[in-house]
Amino acid sequence: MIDLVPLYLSAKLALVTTAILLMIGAALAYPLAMSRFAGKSLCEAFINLPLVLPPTVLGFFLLMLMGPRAVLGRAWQALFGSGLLFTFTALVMASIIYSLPFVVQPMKTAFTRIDKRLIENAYVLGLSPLKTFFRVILPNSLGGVAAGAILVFLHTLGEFGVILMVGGSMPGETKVASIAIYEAVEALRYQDAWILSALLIPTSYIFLLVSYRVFRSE
Amino acid sequence: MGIAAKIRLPRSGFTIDLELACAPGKLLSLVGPSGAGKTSILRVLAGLEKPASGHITCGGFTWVDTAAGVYVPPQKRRLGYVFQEFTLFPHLTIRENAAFAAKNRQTADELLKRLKIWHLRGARPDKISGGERQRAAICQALARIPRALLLDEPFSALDALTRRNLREELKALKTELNIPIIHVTHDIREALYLGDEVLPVVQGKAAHKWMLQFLMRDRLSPACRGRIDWEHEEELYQEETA
Repeated sequence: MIDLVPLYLSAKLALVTTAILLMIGAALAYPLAMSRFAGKSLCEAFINLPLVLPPTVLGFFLLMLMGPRAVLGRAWQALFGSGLLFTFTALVMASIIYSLPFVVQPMKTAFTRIDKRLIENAYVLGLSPLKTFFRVILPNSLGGVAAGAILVFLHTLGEFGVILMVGGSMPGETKVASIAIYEAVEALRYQDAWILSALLIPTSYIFLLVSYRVFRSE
Repeated sequence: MGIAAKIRLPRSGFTIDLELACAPGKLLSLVGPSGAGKTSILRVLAGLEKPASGHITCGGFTWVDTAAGVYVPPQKRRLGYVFQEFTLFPHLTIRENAAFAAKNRQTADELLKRLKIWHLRGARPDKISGGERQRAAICQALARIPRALLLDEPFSALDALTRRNLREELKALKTELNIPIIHVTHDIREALYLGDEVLPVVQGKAAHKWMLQFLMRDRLSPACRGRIDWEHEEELYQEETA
């Protein structure tokens, strides 16, 4: 009987990452789209770094940062009394950093397209900048937000290098579908690899199809 | 108590330096050529731009006093602003737009009926005509029960017939509202028709002779027009706007 827990973990990781990244992405994309400030290009380049870095390089840096003797690892140990590395939380943190550009870019593009006069009209009508964001900017950027969410979900579903570095392959904790497929192939359990891969394809395809539709309507 | 302002604001090429006042129930028309700084003046009154120096008071409240360091943000001024282009929120229906910042929904509904667009209440802004959108924008601005109403070339993007109808509506509304209305236009006829007072603005400054010159050129009989020394008038205009 094939173990379907890795698929469940992949979906859980993708959902949690997407939910957190929607909030972080909006908070980062908004000032990038609407304001001019010193160091804006530096910020954008830093956010987009995961696009060009090999996943193993990013994973290696995160491994060094989350280790029991590293700053983040030690702080985590002190706060929660357990190690960070090779946990589901470490996977979520790594996924957030790895997929950050995939949510910031579409959101930034959507926010940039908002007519500035709509924002000014909202201000004149008494809305604070925060209320304007939720009542005017966000409802008129839903395409970009949805596109970002779908891209992050798919990207997280397909992660391998970063996850292997910071999560290893702990069954029921960090052994997600991509790792399980890799291990199945390594152990010559091709039938398991076939089934897991075949289950991932329609999921990814449907989400990608929706993403294209959203992009086209945008 | 109406609205009174003295504004100084440097723009590229000239400095806006203007004093204006408008009483409740009155309409002040700022008229002048494109690029004269009229919209910037409205933006300063609305709080969307800060003047370099000056003061603005409305209904007994001080909105701006640069000397005393007072600056009230646009959110706190409670005024209505109808922009030149259509700025209704595209994700909302006309009724939702009108009620967006309304004191209560009933006020917004009454305004939609008053401005004859109640039948369009369920439509989105992109499904109605330009004139209907501007009516809806006026409803949105008035539903907040504003202390003053600012109109930035509200009819410039409309066809002649719609423009005429809306002017009539505005003229009727003016007496009902009993708030100061400041209206910006480049159309002198519109300013003269709507305005209880007209303030001609050229390069950010009051330019009464420019207005006079325009009227004289436009309205004098050909026989009279021939007797005027236009070159001298032109010099006066240059002096005034320098």
